Amino acid sequence: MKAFLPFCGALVLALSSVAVANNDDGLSEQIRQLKNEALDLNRDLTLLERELIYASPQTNIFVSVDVGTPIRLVDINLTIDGDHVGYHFYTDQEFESLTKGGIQRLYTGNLASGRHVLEATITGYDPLGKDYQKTTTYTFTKGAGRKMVEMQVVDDLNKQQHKFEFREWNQQ
Amino acid sequence: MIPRLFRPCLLAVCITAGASSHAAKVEFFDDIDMGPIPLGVEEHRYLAFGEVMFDFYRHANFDAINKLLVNQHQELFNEDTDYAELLLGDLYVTYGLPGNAEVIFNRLLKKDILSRTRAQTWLHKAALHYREGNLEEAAMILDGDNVKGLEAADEARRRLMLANILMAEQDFIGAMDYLNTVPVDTDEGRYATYNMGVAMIRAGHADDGLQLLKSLLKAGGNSDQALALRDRAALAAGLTEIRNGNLESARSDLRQVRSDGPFSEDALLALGLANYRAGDIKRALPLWLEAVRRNSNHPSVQEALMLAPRAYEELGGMPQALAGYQYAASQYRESLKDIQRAINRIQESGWAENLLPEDVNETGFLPANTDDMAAGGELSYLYKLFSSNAFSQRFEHYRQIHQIKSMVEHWQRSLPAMQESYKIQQASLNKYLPHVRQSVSEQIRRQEQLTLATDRLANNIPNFVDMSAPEDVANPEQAIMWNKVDGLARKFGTIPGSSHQNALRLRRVRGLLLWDIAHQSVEQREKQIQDAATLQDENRVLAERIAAVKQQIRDATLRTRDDLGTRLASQSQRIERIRVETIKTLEALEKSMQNDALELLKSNQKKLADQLAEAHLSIARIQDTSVSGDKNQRTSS
Repeated sequence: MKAFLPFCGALVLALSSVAVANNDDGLSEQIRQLKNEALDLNRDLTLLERELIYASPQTNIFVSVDVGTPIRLVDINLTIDGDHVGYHFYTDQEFESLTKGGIQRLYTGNLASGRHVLEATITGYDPLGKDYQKTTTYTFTKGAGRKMVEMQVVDDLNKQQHKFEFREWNQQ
Repeated sequence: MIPRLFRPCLLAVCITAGASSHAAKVEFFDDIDMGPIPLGVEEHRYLAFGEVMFDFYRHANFDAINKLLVNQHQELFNEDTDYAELLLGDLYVTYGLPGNAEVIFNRLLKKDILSRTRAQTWLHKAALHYREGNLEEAAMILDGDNVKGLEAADEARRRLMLANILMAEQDFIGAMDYLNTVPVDTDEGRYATYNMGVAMIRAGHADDGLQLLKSLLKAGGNSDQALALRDRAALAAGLTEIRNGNLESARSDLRQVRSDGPFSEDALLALGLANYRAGDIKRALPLWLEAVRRNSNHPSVQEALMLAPRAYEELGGMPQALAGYQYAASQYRESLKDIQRAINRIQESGWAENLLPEDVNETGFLPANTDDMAAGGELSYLYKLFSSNAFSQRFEHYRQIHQIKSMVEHWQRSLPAMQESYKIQQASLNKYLPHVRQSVSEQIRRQEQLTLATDRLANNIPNFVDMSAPEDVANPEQAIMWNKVDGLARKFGTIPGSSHQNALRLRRVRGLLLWDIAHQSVEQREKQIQDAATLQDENRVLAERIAAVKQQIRDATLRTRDDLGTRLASQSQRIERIRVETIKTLEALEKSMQNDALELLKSNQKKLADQLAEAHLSIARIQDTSVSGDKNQRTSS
């Protein structure tokens, strides 16, 4: 029946994929080349920037959480010697990254040698969705080389909240 | 939970393949809590790789690749870090640089690596061939011994790839063998089953294909994706049954498509057709009328616009048929206007940029201005284009190159600031460094003297109490009193008032004071030892500060002699060159996407014009019939 001929076309279309003209004209190679050049440029400039800004010894504060934690970290506020130096609000994707073993560099900067007091305040949700806030202080001594401090936000399963653990490294 | 004092530091290393992902563990070092320790290579790798993983899992693939490359350049990641190499290879594949990935995989395979890593690397290599369309090479790897010993998730991925390859070769029995082991309750399993069903129908194995499609109708999964696939399977099964003439089965399948799902318009049209073919026009009509109420830019709705009045015509409802055709004609005219508007919009410069998602790390293909496009009807027409693999790949390239353009522009803005910082640093160091160098020697001498004095003091404090020198164990007030009383006792007899009575009083006072001193002497000695230790500790910090200053002087001296300024200046031209290339590539990609979109829209335009012509012909036909009917009536009367 003539009336339904166009519909047969629709039927065939439903079972096939769209054919798209693919006129490449060397574009793929151009894209690949550009991507490689961009990666090289970014690497070189990152190295130059590090060389320039952090030529003198620096301090890095990292944040990690327990893998697979049921407690949701919402945000973190960081002060060093009373000065506010960092804040981060975690999106779902970022928090998921942390729970899968990712480590976030929360602070990088030059600190004078000597003793420093770090204070971190976190907001989190316990497994029941109730929010809470926790603050901790940690004292470290900055010496001649780079200082790396890892702040691990780990589960306090008794309280169903987070607690902090610290690790410190000196790089000469 | 692993005890805190001694636990290995692990990172989950994820190797992805499209939607599927799983993680393997990399052990870095045993974590013993001993306070600040020197940063060893493994600890440094643990932190650096952790940062890469943070970027990787939040889909910031460009940042992840950059961190891997920077660490590679600094020789932190090298030939010993297979996990970093494998991840870089995988990221290269995702980033559209298969050549770079292959070099890495080949390098890894030449090495003496763990058997599981070797199997994973082969799997990656096969996935690379598969992605590139080299199915034969992919199949050879996937079917060989090299991929033995994969973890469960990788094994499922291997079987799925093999099933897809065999499907493409129309070896359905072979594909089924592999597919049977992929669980149908996963997204991968469901999609593979659907693809297999459709492929079998296309190849003429309709019964087996239908069986697979119908198995999906009973499969679990409540996600939007799973429900949409179930609708799609029901629609495909229904359409096949219509083609085979099994109208009752077709109706049963098509009724399972959700009325508010993405395939509801197609299902309404098809269900109406099944009823029509079964001779039940009265049951076909309401379905087509329902379809006609939907978005008139949808191809199935456009088909229904003509089918509904035609059904009225067959049922003898000429006035309704005429109204229906007139409505169809008006809708086709509106749709033609929509298409023209869409064509105009696509031809405007910056069309592709408007499609970009706001989040630069967003990998999904959802245009940013979906609402605008939907309002203009553009999305309905371009939907098939957007859902095609080739177009979405080209758009992904566009997104990545656009990201590169933003990055290059960022560096272009930052470079002058970096050069200025460098100049300021140089000027400041040249001004202050000589003075700092000079005065630090004096500070070193003072600190060393302080260390000697502190150590001497600490060593001279006995760890017992000796009352032969009470002032040594007295507190400050007692010491002042003791000096006074002891002084009076020594001078007694030579000073006025040196009577016997006063001698007795002085002895009593001295005795009481001695008793006081002795009473708290142990506590006082402990405090002295503690104070000396604190002093030594403070002095150690001072020594560290001196070392830090010396280190900074060394760094600063090197800075005054380095060629960083020249190296920064040399980047300027390089950045500009890449920026220009980026703009050219974006233009070429936009042009290519515009062409595809316009081609599709023009074909839609042509189809709509045909439908409009057909609607006008039908209107004319009915009007003619009506006029000649009237004439006949008048003639006969």
